[in-house]
Amino acid sequence: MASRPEYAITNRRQGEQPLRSDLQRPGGPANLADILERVLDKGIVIAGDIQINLLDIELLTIKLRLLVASVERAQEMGINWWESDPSLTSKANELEEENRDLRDRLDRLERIAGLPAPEEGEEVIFEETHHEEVVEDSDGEREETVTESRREEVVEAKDAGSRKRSPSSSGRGGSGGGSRKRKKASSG
Amino acid sequence: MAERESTEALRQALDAFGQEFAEGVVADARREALERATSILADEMTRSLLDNARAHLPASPPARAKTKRSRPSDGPQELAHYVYGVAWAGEDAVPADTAGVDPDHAPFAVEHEGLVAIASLVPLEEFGEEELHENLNDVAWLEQTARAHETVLDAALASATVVPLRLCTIYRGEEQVREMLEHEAPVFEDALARLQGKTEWGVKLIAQPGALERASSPKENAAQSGELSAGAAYMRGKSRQAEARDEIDRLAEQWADRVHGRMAAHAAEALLNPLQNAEVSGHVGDMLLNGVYLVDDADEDPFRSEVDALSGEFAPLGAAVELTGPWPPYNFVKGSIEAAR
Repeated sequence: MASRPEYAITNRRQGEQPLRSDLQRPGGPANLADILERVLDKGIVIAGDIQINLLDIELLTIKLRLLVASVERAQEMGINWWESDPSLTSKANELEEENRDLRDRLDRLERIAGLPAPEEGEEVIFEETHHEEVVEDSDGEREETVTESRREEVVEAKDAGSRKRSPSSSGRGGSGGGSRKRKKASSG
Repeated sequence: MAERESTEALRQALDAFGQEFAEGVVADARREALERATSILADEMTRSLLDNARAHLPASPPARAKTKRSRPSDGPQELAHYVYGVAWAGEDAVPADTAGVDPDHAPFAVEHEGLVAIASLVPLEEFGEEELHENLNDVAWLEQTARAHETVLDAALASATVVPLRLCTIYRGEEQVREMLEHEAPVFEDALARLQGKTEWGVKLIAQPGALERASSPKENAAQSGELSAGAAYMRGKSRQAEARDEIDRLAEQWADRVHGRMAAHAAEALLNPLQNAEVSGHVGDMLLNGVYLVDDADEDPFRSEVDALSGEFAPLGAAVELTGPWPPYNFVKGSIEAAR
């Protein structure tokens, strides 16, 4: 199902649940997942004097999304980010690596304005978009502004038919979520 | 001669004594060593049991916070301003009798030109840059702080429209909080105007294990497979399984759409959030929908009635519709600041 997350629940233990809280509000405390998805991921973000590394929070948020699981479950998955630097864990490394790869590739594509060498089994098509806006002043003068002009790289992988689109004009380097499924869904 | 004999006899007697008692002595020593070891082990076990038992006790935040911090009692603490959210001045947004993220410091208002920041003091030794980096990765600390943040905003919500800020927005002093209010005033004013009289609610649809399977169309005549060859039967079984899975996915989506569509009809704005993992949320079964809705307070009754109606429709199917809230409008402010920038 498209709307289901990839981190399908496989282990539904009903016994001890260390982080579990009761669901009902008001009255009882709210469930931790409900709170965390809000206070970490939502709400207005303003830079304070104490600089929280936003990457920290982002990594944390991504991990919480991937996990949103108990410590035990996380350990089963080989993730122990609460014990050590998040960037040292295997999962984070994987995501980072994937991120870096994508970024490198974007950089390369940007540098070489011409046709980049596609990887084996991949086909690269360029799609150009060009937006123009015509504004007419009160005194009748017309002003043309090109607000956006970019080319998009569409990589068509032969194997799974997956389609990745990365606008080379913006820095959408993937938020580290790194799931191919999501990228596939985001085209268009 | 006789003397030598008696010496020999004495030695023999001593030997015999030694032999006779050596065993006993070793046994005694062993017993005593065992006892000592047992008692040491018992102490260690007691300590371990106590530690573990403590972890299972309901969390009492202040006590837990104290042990976490190990504050030096000498010397003044360096304090910073932690800001929870922003409201219109004069709406009495600062809750009384609510602890801040640091239990020792209650929330207060920082007012500036018609806006108030709901703030409280926090020690830099816990909320400083390096410390935050570590603490944010400490699940227990994170839970405690997130809950405290939410509790303050919850309380504020009772009497005011609040724009919630993300966890751990911290300023050096009151002056810096005022500057922030000054700079961001247009964003806050826009958001507050838009959110006035509206409340965030969450609605989830959770199917009991097996509910979707039961509700999807029943399997066709299994008898037919008897006539097929083993290979063909196997292939047919495989494709049936795949069909059944597709059918279940379709049904899950259908159910989620039905609930979301009808809730959204009573809301000013509606959004879908990623489904939660059962182990943190504590639900049993499959979460099919995690929707959030910004509802005009005037529409709260019809909104709630719709939740009840949907509950009634889904209960026989083995699925539950869960309502949470009221929440500070976390899910409906992000866009506003992005739009403003």
